[in-house]
Amino acid sequence: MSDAMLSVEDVHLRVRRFEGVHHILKGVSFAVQAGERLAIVGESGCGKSLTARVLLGLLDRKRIDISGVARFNGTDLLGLAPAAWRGVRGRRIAMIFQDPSTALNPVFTIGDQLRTVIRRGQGVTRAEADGQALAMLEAVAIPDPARVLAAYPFQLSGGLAQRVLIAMALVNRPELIVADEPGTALDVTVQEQTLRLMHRLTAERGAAVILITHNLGVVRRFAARICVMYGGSIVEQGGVDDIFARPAHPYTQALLRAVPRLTGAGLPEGIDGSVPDYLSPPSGCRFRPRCPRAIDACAVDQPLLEVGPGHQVACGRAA
Amino acid sequence: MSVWRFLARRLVASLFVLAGVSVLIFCLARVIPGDPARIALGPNAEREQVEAMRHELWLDRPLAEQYVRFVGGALRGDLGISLYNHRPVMETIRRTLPVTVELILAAAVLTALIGVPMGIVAARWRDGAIDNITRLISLLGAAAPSFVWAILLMLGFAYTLQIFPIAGRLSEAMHAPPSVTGLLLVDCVIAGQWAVLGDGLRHICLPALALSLSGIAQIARMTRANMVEVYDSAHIELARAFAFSEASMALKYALRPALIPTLTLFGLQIAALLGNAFLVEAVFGYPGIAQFGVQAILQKDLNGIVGCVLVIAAAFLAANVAVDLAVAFVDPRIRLGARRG
Repeated sequence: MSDAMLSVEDVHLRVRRFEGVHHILKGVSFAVQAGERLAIVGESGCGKSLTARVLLGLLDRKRIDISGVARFNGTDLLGLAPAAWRGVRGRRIAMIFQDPSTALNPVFTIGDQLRTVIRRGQGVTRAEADGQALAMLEAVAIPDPARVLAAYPFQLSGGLAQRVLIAMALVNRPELIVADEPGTALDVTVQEQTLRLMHRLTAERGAAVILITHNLGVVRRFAARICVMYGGSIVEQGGVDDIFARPAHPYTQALLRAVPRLTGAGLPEGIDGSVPDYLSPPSGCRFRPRCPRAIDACAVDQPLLEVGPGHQVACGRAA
Repeated sequence: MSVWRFLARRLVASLFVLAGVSVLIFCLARVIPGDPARIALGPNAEREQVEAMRHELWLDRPLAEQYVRFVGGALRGDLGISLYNHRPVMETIRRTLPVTVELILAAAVLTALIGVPMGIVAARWRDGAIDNITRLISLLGAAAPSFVWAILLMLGFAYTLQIFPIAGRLSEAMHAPPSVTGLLLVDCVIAGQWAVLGDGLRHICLPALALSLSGIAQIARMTRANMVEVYDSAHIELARAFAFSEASMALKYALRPALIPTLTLFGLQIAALLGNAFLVEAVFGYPGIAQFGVQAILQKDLNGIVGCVLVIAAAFLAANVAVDLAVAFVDPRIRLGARRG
């Protein structure tokens, strides 16, 4: 694991609120190799977006306790001083935001925002940044880049604006890209195009990708490895084919049954219940109250155990 | 292009508002009890004298006819003769309005230059010292109206500490430079009379501060609230994720979206300034339009009342068109005519 580009080990995240402490991330551990594509999958509220924000240091550490280690090429991101983040954010780790209609500043042009990203990342001159901005918009297949640079976000379609977000993430040639449900706010065909584009460009540049999504259909085509997240913990991880063919955790199995299919009989099945309450979560496996196969042994914490090559599961029934 | 069309549309709309205001104030001034001719001539005047004056003032004609005559005069720049100082109303307005406009502009500049930075700092360092000071000032600003502040400032800084002059526009020894813009401070700069400029500035400080205190508090609170909201938005999170500097976020990427509602509030503040300027001018013996306006109302000087109200309405409309233009300048969605879904 030590040779991984990013290794996240036993990260806990607690939010102090008026009514008590919410223990949201509980022992999250995973690793990303250089150039690898990892998907983090789970339903809304499972902590996957928070995990992304931990990696970029975007959370207010005054209100949020984060413990554990997130080692990125030797440096622990969780111990990074605010000034040191400048060398990492947008330059070595970049994020693709989810909703292009809110993630771009409404009162500045695309050119202004993209140029600032480039100049903060590379410290180049304005003219140089202009040239790079134009070239990058061309690279994300925007037909009229000069017009888009002069435009305000509200003048662009959702698909075009999402491409701008991809351009921002790629332009400083980061080693790792965290894509937080890119295109979820767009319609399905545009989302598909966006993902393909992201896939192609990151592959060309050899950047590793953490794709955060709730859409298992997307994962199969765009990731090599999957982490399934539930209630702030990773409950199963492994290669895409292993997970789809031999899901070991009852939650992963339920998630796969919930995917709508065009072929075959029957409707997708839902999962009863809802994501756990983080203020007083169930002990041990957090899926226990919703799990059809739960036994008494599930009430204690479950470590990730190897069930196949590179395929691990945290489940009391797996042993 | 579209900014000019926008401006033209607003100006036409303003003319309609002005026409409406003129009808309203013209009728109101004549409906309230008390005979202006009787008040002007005093209780001992003969009935015939009063009647003659009523005839001279066209007060014995139908209201509609009086109004048509008034509009005819007003379009030629003639607002009639004042019953209070027996001079053309237009002349008095031309003399006193610039003084008031200058005071209001000074208060508006103070409001913007103190209120907005206070809001930015309060939002950036939430619950810090500046944030608490803004809270205190907004509480005080809401608790006491501007004329109370005028008296307190006068007692503190002019009477007790004697840092600023007590009242008036200029010291006795000073002579105003020839009027070019009508705004004393600007005229001083044009004429290069720096001593007079300094004296004028010292005289305007306390009234302008008294006038602007409640506005400063409101603008600071509004800027703070908007900045806090914008700081939580996705585009500022993106700016953080791409290592934008704190300064560029506070002064550019967060400030500009946050300024849009603040500017709208600023337009309303100008209306409040116009009203409060009357009281503050009265406290500081300031030779603005307030003295004339108050006397016109007390003396039931019909032409004076109508003239003052129309001028104030016009100033308010102009200020709001200016604010709308500023909003259009800051917000491209308005400037470029976005259709918001």
